[in-house]
Amino acid sequence: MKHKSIFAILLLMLGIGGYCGYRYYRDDVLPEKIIDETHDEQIKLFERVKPETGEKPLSNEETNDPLKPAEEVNDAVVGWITIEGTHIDFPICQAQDNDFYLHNGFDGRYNNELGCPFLDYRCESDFSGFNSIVYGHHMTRQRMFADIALFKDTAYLQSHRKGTLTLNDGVHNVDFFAYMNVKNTAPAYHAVFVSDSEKEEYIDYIFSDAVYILNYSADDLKRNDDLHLLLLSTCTYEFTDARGILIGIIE
Amino acid sequence: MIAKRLFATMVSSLLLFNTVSMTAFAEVALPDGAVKGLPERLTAMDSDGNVVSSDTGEYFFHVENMQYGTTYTKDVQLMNLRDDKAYHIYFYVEPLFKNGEIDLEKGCECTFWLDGQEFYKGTVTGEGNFDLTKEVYDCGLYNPGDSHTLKCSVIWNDLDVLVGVDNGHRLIDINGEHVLVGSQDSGYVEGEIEFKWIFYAAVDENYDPPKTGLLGVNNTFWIICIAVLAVLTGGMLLLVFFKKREKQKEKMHGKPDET
Repeated sequence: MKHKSIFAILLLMLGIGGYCGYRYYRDDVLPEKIIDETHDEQIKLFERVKPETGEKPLSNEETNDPLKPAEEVNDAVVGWITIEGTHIDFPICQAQDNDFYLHNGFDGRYNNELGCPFLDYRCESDFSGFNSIVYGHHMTRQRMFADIALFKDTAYLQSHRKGTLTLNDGVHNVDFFAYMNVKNTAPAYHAVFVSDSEKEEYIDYIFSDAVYILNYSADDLKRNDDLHLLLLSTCTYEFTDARGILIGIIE
Repeated sequence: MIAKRLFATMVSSLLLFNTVSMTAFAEVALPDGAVKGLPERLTAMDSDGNVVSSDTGEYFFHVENMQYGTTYTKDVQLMNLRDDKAYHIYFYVEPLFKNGEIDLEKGCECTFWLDGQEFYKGTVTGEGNFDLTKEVYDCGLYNPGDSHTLKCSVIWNDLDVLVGVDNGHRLIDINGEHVLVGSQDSGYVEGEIEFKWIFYAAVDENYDPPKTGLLGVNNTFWIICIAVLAVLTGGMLLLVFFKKREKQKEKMHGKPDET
């Protein structure tokens, strides 16, 4: 009798264990596998349309518009961001809202929520505004914009300070200098600047709320009449609705 | 007779009224996200109770028969009566028309203050320490319940604009000062000017922070469940094993006694 009870309990636990294993596969392993496959496909596509800016000479058409190969796939592409030594090497699209490219890939098709980095719809599509905010998913295995969270460590930024932003008119260097860890509704996401005083307030805000700032003072930025900031934003998990923002100057 | 210290009698009035469609000359392009006019319960109201048109953001400043040397002022209270959102309020100036023999656009000085802090001095048409017809002025951020006062004063203080005016008026010197004397001492000249302020607010009403959360599932729940079950099962098996061994030991110890 006693043996039978123990045997029954063991069977029950094995059953529950089996169910947990199934749920783990269904909820964790399978999506990861699907995302993995989708990610691989997307990376292949990126490699095919990536602007060839350094290694081989550009054709005339590409010289005029380095984004042309990417535009042939999706004319909503507005730029290409690269940070050497990281996984960040992506096209940037822009839609009429901040939702479309959360769920759809560079080719505009649903891609299992992998999305594609995108420029805030309120920002100037040629990055000529005072600030340009680019969003991307924080994925496992350092995919998409996951590397942004690594910049919370000053040492990481110091070794990955330089990036490039390829636009229709050519390649622009980006000098990253600050990292912010803020809520998703923080003033950092302000994108409409009308007056100089408002821009100065925004600079002061960055300098007061950033996790750290390298190499620049607020006055340096305020003195720059042609300042264009690039903000790369992704979710982080330090607190509810936390966001990590890497900030650079487009040169 | 009485030499009037500058140009005389005048009925002056500052008329504020909302009318439709006046000619607009300004070339100010509103930035993306800025809405011309003021959203509901974002209010601009002068001391006479005249409010800025919420649809167009227009507030008219009309001066007729301006008297030389008299300062005309207007206080406009800017208020955010909403309880949900903060807004930036901006304004700029559009000259509308001038009329009469005297070019009041040039003869008047206009000063703006925000909460007592002077930020503009120049002509009524917006050309001063900066060009209010082309550059918008940021009246600040208005959190729910915030209120600020925009004050404007206009004074006709330049006699040079009378040069060339030929309607019987003449300038004479009295005690070293230029004084305008009208024909038959009437002292009237016709002058009228109107300009309007355009208010607007920058809003982020449609902004919804994108959820760029971790998709590649970092869900440890099921793994924890499996681990707990494995520990429990292992524990039970160990328990059974030890019990069984205990029984075997008891059997072993019991054997000699039996023999």
